[in-house]
Amino acid sequence: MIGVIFGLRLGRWGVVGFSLAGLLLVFAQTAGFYQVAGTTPGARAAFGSAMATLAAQLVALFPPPLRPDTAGGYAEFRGFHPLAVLFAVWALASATGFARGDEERGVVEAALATGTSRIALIASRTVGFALAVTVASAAAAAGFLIGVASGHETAAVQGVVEEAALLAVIGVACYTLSLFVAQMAGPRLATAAAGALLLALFLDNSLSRAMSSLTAWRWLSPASWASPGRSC
Amino acid sequence: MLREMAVAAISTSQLTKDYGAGRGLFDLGLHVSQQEVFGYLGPNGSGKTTTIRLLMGMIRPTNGSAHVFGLDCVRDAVEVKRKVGYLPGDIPQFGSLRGDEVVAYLGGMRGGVDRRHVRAIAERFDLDLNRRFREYSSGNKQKLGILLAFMHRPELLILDEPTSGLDPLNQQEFYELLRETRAGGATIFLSSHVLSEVEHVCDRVGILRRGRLVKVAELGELTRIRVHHVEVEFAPGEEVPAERLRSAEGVEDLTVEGQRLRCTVHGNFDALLQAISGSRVIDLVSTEPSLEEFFLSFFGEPKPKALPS
Repeated sequence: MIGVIFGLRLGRWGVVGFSLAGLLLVFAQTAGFYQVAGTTPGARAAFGSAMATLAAQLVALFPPPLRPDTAGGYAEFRGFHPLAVLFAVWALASATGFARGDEERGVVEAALATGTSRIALIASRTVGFALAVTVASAAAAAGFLIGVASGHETAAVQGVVEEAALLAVIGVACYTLSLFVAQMAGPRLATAAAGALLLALFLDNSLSRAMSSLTAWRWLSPASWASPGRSC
Repeated sequence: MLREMAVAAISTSQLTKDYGAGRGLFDLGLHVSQQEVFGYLGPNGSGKTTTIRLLMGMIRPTNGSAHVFGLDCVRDAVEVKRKVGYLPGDIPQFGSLRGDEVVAYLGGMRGGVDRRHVRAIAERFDLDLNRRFREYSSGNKQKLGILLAFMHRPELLILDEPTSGLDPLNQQEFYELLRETRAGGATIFLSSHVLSEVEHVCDRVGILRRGRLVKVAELGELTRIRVHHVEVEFAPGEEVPAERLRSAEGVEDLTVEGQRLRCTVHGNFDALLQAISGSRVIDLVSTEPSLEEFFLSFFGEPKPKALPS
């Protein structure tokens, strides 16, 4: 347990920063929806159609929105999906920072010298990141709920929880993969190698929407595991 | 109990870590008894830190084996670390963590740390644990490293150049702490590249050179083989007793310039002091040669060629 807290303490600014980013980004997108989408069903349908046209041009990067004429669909497309990419970058930085940065600073050796096994240390840091990304995902969910409240509407809590859970799962999956690669690669190559893997997996998922030959390999990408059929 | 005492605190057999190009550690056979203070002496790059990292299970040997209290340093690395207090040569960089946070986290991960003992060591070295690590001077960082090594009252302390960065007062405090810890039943293995340092506290000294253990000496033997450069200034008008000094045991390389005399003294100072006892001396300076010079003297090696200007 103390190892988890130690990991969280070392990465506390990451938790604060990405939680704030999640909260503000999703809140801004959700609140913005009520400003630009109109209030009548007709106006919102027209807005949704315009967004679907825009999203079709970005299909190789982001999945098309499911219901862009609603606050939930719009916030998912403009808030949660970009946030998933942001959390993947956080996971990459955090994992390689632990595997190589802390190793080079001697912090890993100091922790191992206490009689903690390397596996236990890796597990505690992974749990620590899982807690951190859960907090940040919850902040993003809170941003959505506040945004919806600002539009004088209500949202289904279960859907919001699922969306936040998806974000957390993607973050943890990216962290685990990055950590694995960073342990295998040399110190200089760790970040580049882990980044290349995550980028390849991201493109595997996103390009499979445009290239049918990649569809068979789509399951490899963490994004597709989290959201099959419409993954980010 | 007797059986426990029979187990060596540290034993290695043909321990080798080959980094290529003749660098590393080769065929180390070492035996350190329980409750012994063993000094591990060698110039920079001689393999001291490699030995220590092998003992701590931080790196794997190319060949041979190392045991701590009978536990294999590779197979039982976690158990070994539980028994050891470790001070690395390079203190970890804990960044913005405060000293007490470092102690709390690492102490918590280890378990069994007595807060009063931690506080006592911190007070002893005048170390402010409320300050952030990055604000510490190099001496204070070293003190924190010492505290982390001693905080759980380990059975064995493995210390890599422990006094580096400490001022003379704190060095004395550290030597005192070592004596107390040893009196409390702990075994101490400390590396150094300063001969006088290991003389202060060690029972035996292993001398390492170019990755090989070249000698294991008792403290008395070390005193006999040690060397000092001595400079004596005699009072104006006083006759310099050069002939008496030349014939004095252990005095070599004697040169005289006016009232100033320079020489090298092997072993103790008895013969030199006797030779100058009837003369008025206004200054006497003794300096310890570097370990490299000591090796040149002890192993009779030719001096390295000077670099071209």
